[in-house]
Amino acid sequence: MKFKLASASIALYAGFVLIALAAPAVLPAYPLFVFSLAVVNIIAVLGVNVTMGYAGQISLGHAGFAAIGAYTTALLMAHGDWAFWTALPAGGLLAGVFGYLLGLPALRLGPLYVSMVTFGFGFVVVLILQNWYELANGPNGMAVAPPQLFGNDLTPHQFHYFVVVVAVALFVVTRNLINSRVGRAFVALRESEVAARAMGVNVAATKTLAFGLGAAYAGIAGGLFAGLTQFINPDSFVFGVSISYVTMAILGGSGFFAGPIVGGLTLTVLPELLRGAAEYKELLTGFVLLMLLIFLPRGLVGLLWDRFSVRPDVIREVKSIKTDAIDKSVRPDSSRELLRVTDVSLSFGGLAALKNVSLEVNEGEIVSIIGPNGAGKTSLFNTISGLYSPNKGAIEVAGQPVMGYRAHQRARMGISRTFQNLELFQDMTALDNVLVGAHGQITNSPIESAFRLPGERRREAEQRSRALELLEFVGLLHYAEERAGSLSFGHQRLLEIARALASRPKLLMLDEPAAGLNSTEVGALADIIRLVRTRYGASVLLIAHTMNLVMALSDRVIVLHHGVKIADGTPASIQKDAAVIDAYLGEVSNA
Amino acid sequence: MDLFWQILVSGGMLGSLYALVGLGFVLIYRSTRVVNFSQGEMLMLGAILALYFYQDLKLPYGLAFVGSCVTVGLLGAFLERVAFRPLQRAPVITLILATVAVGQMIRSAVRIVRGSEVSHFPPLFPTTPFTVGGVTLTALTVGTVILSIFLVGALVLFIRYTRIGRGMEAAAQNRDAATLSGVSINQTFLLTWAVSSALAAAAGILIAPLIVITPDMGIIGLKGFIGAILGGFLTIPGAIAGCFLLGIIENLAGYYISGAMKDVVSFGLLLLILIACPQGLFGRQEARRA
Amino acid sequence: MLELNGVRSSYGRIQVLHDVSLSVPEGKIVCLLGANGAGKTTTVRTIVGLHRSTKNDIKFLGKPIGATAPHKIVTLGIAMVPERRDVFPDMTVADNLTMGAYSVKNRSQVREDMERVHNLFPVLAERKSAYAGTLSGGQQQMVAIGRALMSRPKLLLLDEPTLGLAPLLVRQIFEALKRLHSEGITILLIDQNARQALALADYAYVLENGRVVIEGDSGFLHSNPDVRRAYLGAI
Repeated sequence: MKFKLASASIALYAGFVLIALAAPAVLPAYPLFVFSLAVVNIIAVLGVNVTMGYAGQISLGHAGFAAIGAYTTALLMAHGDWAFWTALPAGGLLAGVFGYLLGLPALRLGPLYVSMVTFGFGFVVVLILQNWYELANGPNGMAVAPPQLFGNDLTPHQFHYFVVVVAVALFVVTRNLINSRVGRAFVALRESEVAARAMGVNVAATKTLAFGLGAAYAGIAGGLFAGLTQFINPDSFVFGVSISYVTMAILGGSGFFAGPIVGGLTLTVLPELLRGAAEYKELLTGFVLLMLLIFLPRGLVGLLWDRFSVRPDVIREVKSIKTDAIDKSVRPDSSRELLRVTDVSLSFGGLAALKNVSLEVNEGEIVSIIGPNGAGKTSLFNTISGLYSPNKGAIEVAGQPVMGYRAHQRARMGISRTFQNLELFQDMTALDNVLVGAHGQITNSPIESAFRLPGERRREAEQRSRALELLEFVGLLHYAEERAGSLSFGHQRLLEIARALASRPKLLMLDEPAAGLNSTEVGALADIIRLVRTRYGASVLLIAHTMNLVMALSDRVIVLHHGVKIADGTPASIQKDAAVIDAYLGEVSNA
Repeated sequence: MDLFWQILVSGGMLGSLYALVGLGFVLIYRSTRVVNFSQGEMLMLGAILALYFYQDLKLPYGLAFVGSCVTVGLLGAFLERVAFRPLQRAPVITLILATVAVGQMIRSAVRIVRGSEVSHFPPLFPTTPFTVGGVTLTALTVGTVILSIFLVGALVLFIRYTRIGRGMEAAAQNRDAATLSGVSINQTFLLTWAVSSALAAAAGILIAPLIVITPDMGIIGLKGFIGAILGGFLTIPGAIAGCFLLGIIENLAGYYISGAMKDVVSFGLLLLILIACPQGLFGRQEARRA
Repeated sequence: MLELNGVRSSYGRIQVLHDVSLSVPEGKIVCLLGANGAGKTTTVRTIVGLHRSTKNDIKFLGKPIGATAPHKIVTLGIAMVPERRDVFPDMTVADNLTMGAYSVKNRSQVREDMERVHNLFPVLAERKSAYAGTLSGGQQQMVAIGRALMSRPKLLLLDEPTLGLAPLLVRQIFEALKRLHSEGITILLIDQNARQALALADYAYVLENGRVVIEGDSGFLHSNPDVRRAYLGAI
């Protein structure tokens, strides 16, 4: 099955490249120009797909990046005597730098502001170009000398080959990136930013990379456009162009690898066939975009994917895995302290969530935190994992203070967790979810991933087999290639545990892993939590309301009430504690 | 010094128009969490329709004004119903793109109907300049400011004191609690789109005599957005103050730097504000729920 | 007065209510108990239509209301106080209360009801021009209850009205509920404070994983070890 699917898609891509390469032999001049233009657009749309499709960051300014690429290329050639071959990458690079810088505000702002910032950027770029008379000729635009090879001008045929080769190269690099830790981080960001942070993904670096990369592709497309048309003016890069890139991305299928090809080709060729005036093309683009958003948000490729995709069979791959292997690298010493929380207080706008909470967890210990709704349990987890910063107090893991570190750094220091309301990366496979958990374990740089250098392949393979082993551990191996969002509720809970374990945590924090499970599932969960300690040597901090589970599992139980720790002791002593019973069942009113 | 006052006054006038269109952004954002990229096109449409009513149909100005606002308001309501309501549960990005698509459709449709020709809106009030305390004014600018301040004030009073306005405000602050109090969210959203589209149209009509009418004049509507961001997007008074400030800053920049760079300055300001203090100068952080 | 007959409800693919049946007789206080995630909030949100259920056989005063639009529910005489002190933060206390009377046309009735709410929670009269978002948690809860009362409900649904409140305030809220009950309002109460809720209520249901597992007179449940088990586990 897997073989069939892979070979089918390879055949499709190979077929497309062959057609693209054969085109100059068959097509007359103008249709060939349109084809070349389509491939240039496909490259720009690939950039949109990286930024918006995979990383989920809206961009309404890709035409601005293309303008930077085009004008940089043209200006370097006209005024700097650069060859097209060196000016083109320079244009791409500069566009990438602008994209990176524009990604910075996106770190703190929601899609709303990012859309406006990217829009404003594209607008300002055109405005500056229109007023830049000295070098760029203002609104009149500038002629671009034809690219030369060995002293001869390139023919349109030759340039078409060049454009296709660049496109293929960029697609290969993108495919490598998307299937690596970088691409998984992009998608993780799109699906759940908070979970990405908790799994060790550096959100800041990832977002700016997504913007930079997407912009660089658009910049290269702009440079190629300059080389293809041999004339550029600001009108070629107005807002409408950004919209058509986005429309192409969505028509093809945002976040699907083949999306830009389908979308770019369709929306470049179709309007040519209609032969309408520019206004009609714009009207059509707007209408198509709106209809797609309402009726076909996953695009054409998404439609086909949902209909025909076949899950690859990974079961055979894991026959060799020793499922009862014990991780020897971590052997818990139950007398050693792992986590120390000292006097932590946290408040939101005057409302205290935690008041002077102190607690310790030893290596290999299972400690439960219980307390009524609103007692501050999840706030405590968020504080330990670095999603909240407390007003005062200190937290140490294995003797090392962690307060100065951000969430993704703490994840790499051995703190891992699950979420009460399930923060799975819904649209990724179960296996990829676990691999994001191993993000901090894989040290490949984006460059290594882009070119699939040997060390990268080995490390990816190692993590992959470990991820499969973890899926086997929680009993989800058969679902490895299923979308996480399509799993049952109980399975999603287990998948979160497998994902959390992938970072080789010293401390595993489980936030209500039993909520919503039936009693059989709770039993299986208890076994898994016990095994976490013996097999992976992790300490477990557990928030739960299912008291049978708490009492049966815990070495120690800590009770929070109104943000204050009111009890800390063995399960048996807690059940007899008058203060705890009062907190749970409520003080009997004297009034 | 007189020059400074001159710039201040004409900046304030620009600001009052920005406030008009900026409020439309704020209203829609507060209830639906969407920034409406078609707001500028509503402005453009308002100006063009008014011109058509006034010049071609020879309607009296007041009727042309109201007729254009009502038509554009109805269009806003129609778009809410057919385009935005089906997307209510979609991701924010999808909604933003939908408004972009609608804007593009309006813009290109206008271009198809009347071409890219530039038209002038005949001034309603005389444009003979007179001087007050060293500042040169025209009846047109004064009249425009008064009308737009009147409209902004009317909107604020509408939200504050009418039952429907209170419902809109309640739905913006807390959707569930508003529903439980008997406010129909669907009706409220419809009304919100209608009102903010009509506001944009009004801004377009008022600004038309001061600039030229083209299918691309909608870009000026986005100044309202920038002004609202500048002041703090979530509160109506903050947004109004920000729009006035933006008008003044733009005029200062236009005079001291260069006229062409005015727009660059305002978008640059947008970037700066978003990076330095996204809650705006007079706004406050969006309340976070634990 | 209110009857749920085998109500099912789900979030996406995850079913959270499995055939929940319960009834609230006129003039009674009924409470809904259960641990976190048991489905209590979903139950009341389903009743008022904020959550659309897959099977919604719900009757109020003998008439089916399962398909009624959520903003019409209040006009039937059902008011709900949502969890987490759900106020309009940027409106004054007085405006919050007026919003509760959104569907009331009669102005003198609104004035009269405002009086009654001020009477019930005098602190709201003192702070009537303060923005609701600036009030303390307990006061916000009073605003939310007061707002619900402004529609003159026959049935009042309260979702964890004492969550996270200090004991003194908890007592105050419960006193107020007692008074409302004595004035003839029927109440369905969700509470974590099981003992106190049972002391107030006539009848109680315990939910576990979206199912009613125990029901009975509150006196009977008060001494029932199963209730304790539902919260604290077997001993």
